[in-house]
Amino acid sequence: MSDGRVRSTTDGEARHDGGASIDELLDRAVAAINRGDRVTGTALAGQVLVADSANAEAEDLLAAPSDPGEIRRLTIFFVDLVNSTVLSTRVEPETYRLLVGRYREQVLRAVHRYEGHIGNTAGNGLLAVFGYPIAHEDDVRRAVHAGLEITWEVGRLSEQATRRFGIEINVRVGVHRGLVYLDTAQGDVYGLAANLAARISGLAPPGALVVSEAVKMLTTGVHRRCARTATELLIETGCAKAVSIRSVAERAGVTSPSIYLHFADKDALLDVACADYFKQLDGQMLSAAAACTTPVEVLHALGTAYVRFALKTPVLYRIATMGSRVHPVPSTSF
Amino acid sequence: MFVHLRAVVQQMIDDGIYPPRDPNSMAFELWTAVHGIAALFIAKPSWSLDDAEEVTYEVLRAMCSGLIAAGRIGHNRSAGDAIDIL
Repeated sequence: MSDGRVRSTTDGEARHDGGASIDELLDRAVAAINRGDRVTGTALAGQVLVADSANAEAEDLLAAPSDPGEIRRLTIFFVDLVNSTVLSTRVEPETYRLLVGRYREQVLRAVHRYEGHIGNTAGNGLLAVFGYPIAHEDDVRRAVHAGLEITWEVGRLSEQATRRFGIEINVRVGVHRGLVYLDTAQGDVYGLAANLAARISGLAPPGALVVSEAVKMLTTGVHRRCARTATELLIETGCAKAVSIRSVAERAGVTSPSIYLHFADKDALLDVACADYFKQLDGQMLSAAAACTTPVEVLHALGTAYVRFALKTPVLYRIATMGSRVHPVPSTSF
Repeated sequence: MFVHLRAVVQQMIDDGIYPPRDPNSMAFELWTAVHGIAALFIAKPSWSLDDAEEVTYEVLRAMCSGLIAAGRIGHNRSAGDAIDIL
């Protein structure tokens, strides 16, 4: 551990000069506190706060009671049924039981598929943790994907319920990552992060999933890094064939399975890389046009910037607009 | 990028400079022109970049002038008509 100075990488992930990211420092602090070494734990949490003065996890660590039981950094997932009280008064008890039963079944199925663990259930709300008892490198993404799958499945269930009983059913999901106290005997978690997951799920509109800032940082980081790596490989090799899920994974320092959680296949990865490219092209055109006063000047500036950028990045331009595979230009980039 | 081309085309239609044609079509025509230049110069790496600049300028100038003229004399006139009228 060096002098405690921190620099930010282009990803926005703060890294310690010694190479330890905030994430790693927090992991070490948790481990220290769990083995009873409060002094080290406090010092590490203090270092995190030097780098990121508003880090909620570090604050929690400093505030943790001296004998907290086991502390873990886990991904917490909370799903709730929207307006379940109203629902229970509008349909027959058997229908209610059927619908709620099906909803719970979908939640359990999705959570198990992504190897999460159901903690407690409060009314119709279900809390699941990802990262305990089985920890995966990509627990955050697993939780998000489980959540998306549940909203989709319950949407289908709602269509059926509308047809058969004339009633909609909806869920909202919240995903957060942070510090929780783990009750290993009960396999349950409690603490600030668990409450927060439930609270942010309340912010989600019916049928939607909301993630906390902590989760957003973790998921967009991998997504962006993979897209950028794919773009780099395209530039270096000049051909789309060199880009594979494996080559991108190796270079971006992530596992292949975690890429698959973001991108369905290699083509999806290339699509994002191309969309990225068009966004850059867009930026060049806009800044070229910024200084123009008349529409005719703007048009000239846009056209000139387009050709200049294309000729400066010929490999990418060729792949993005004239790729060998059937590659529709992503419509979102216009 | 397409939306920027279309926005400026729309602006010129609104100002009465360009003929009142579908802005999507006109923006698409402009796009095919600049893409054509880019594609050819990428396919021929030995061609000079200065030439690309000049070609781009000339093509855009010709298209813009042509559309402005069409705005004055009516956009369903042929180029032959334009000679007689102008």
